[in-house]
Amino acid sequence: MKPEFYGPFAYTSIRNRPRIKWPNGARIALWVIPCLEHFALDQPMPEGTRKVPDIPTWSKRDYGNRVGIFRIIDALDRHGIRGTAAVNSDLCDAHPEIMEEVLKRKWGVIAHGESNSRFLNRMEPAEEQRAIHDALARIEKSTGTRPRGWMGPGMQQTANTMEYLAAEGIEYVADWLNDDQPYMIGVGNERLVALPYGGETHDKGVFMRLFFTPAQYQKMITDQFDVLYREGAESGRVMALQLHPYVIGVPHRIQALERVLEHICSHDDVWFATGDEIVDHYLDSGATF
Amino acid sequence: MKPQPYGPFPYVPITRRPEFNWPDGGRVAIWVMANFEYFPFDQPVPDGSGLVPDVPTWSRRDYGNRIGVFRIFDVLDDYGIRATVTLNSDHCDVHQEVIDEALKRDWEIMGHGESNSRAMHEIPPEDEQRAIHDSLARIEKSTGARPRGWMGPGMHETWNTLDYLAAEGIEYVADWINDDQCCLIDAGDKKLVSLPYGENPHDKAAFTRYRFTPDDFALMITDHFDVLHREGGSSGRVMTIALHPFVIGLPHRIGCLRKALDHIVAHDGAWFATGGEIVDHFLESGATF
Repeated sequence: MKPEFYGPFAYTSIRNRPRIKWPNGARIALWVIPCLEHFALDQPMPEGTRKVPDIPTWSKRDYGNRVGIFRIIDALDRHGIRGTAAVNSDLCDAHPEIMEEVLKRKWGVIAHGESNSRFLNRMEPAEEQRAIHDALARIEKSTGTRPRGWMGPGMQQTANTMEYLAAEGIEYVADWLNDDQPYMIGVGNERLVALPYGGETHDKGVFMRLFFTPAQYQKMITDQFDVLYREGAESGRVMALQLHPYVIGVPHRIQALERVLEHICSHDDVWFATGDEIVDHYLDSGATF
Repeated sequence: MKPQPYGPFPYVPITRRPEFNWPDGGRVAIWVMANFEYFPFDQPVPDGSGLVPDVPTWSRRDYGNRIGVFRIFDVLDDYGIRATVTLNSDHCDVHQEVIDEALKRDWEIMGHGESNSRAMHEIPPEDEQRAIHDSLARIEKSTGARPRGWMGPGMHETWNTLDYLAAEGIEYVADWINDDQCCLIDAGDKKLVSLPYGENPHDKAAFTRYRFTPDDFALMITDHFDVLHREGGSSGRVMTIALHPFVIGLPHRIGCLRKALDHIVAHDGAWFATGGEIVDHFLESGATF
């Protein structure tokens, strides 16, 4: 990706694109992304004291893997929704029990780097290339399938990330938070799909930076859904529901997710899909741009 | 504890543990934690200007020991609840009167370092063992009993803390905020119990970080309780209500504690207990892991 005045894709406005039609006339393709993250106790935590060990910062995130993720799984199971897990490959070694639950339910899987303690934009190029390669290989070993999609820890990239991902066979990325529809990114001779991840409604940002109450989160997400659902009548939209087990998975917040899912599921024209399924339909549709 | 990528306990997801109940079929063990903290006036106060003296930051906290704590005593007395006190040992030098009120009520006392202005990782390594020893000895002198439990200021530990605590006869710690159930922690040759403090309702986080209103905090407590009560039907859960006299003890906030407790006491299966009582029952249950 060369340093350029605009991103590595054509500017198109939402008003001036081919119409996207989701299966069965759905207005919204909704993908639910539980983030399965791993942080090592013997490495500095992002956002902590930066000292090692940082017990409160680390153990708060460990809650997600011991307890919180199972609440998210239960909430999705109740509505028959398959998630797309964004997986730090270190978690495959540390918590294979969680990957078993993912595989049992045939959830989608996208790669989310090796660990959330190590962002790509803090690595030298050779290290970054190795980290991407090894993360994909490790997840493939755990799931039996090579991930087709990628989301970087912290959604961070370097000038080389897109080239490295393309070389590893990645077909879509979720780091670009600038749209409600998929679009194509040129990477050398390859074209990857940018699949909207929706940065503003990310549970971690909403609860940990905006300090919303669960009721405010519920309103935010249901309002987000309602507007995209209305707009989706004219051309299909994508909505992402980003879930961090240690954030939304705690007892005093989980009911907000349960109520959001009830609201969404009370509508007819919603296509619950994995990231792979949305990208495949988009590419088959001929409505790419 | 040696430097290691995971904590000093096995990873066991909540879905794969032995099941048990609290006394009388209790679903949720609730420990109300009252933090009796001391901040020396001649040292920088956490979250303050970093300068000395820091009159507004210090005196805001001193309110808790002069006034706020007595509101907490009154409320808990009305519900017949015995709290567990996390006690900075410096508090014993200045506020024995407050400690006596807790002892009169047969509240349990836990170690909480010497002062809240210095977390364990901020103490020079060569001084940590002495700080732990002296703080526990000082509390014993003040209360007549040696604390069984410990929570570090800010829940911080070093790699050595658990070993030092075990050597001093501590039986349980509340620094690991990663669960809704107790588990066993390795401390050298000994096993301590981790008593969850969790991402539980914590007045300081709620009011000073999340900027909640008192109604928001009451709802945080009751929502948290409701979900654990639902889950506790299959296997007992633990909930903390963490109270800081200078936070919840303000006139405009204390009422929300009553509101939350009214909701909890209206349910069967809520077992109000001290930290030591919860730990004892866990150890006797045979459902340890």
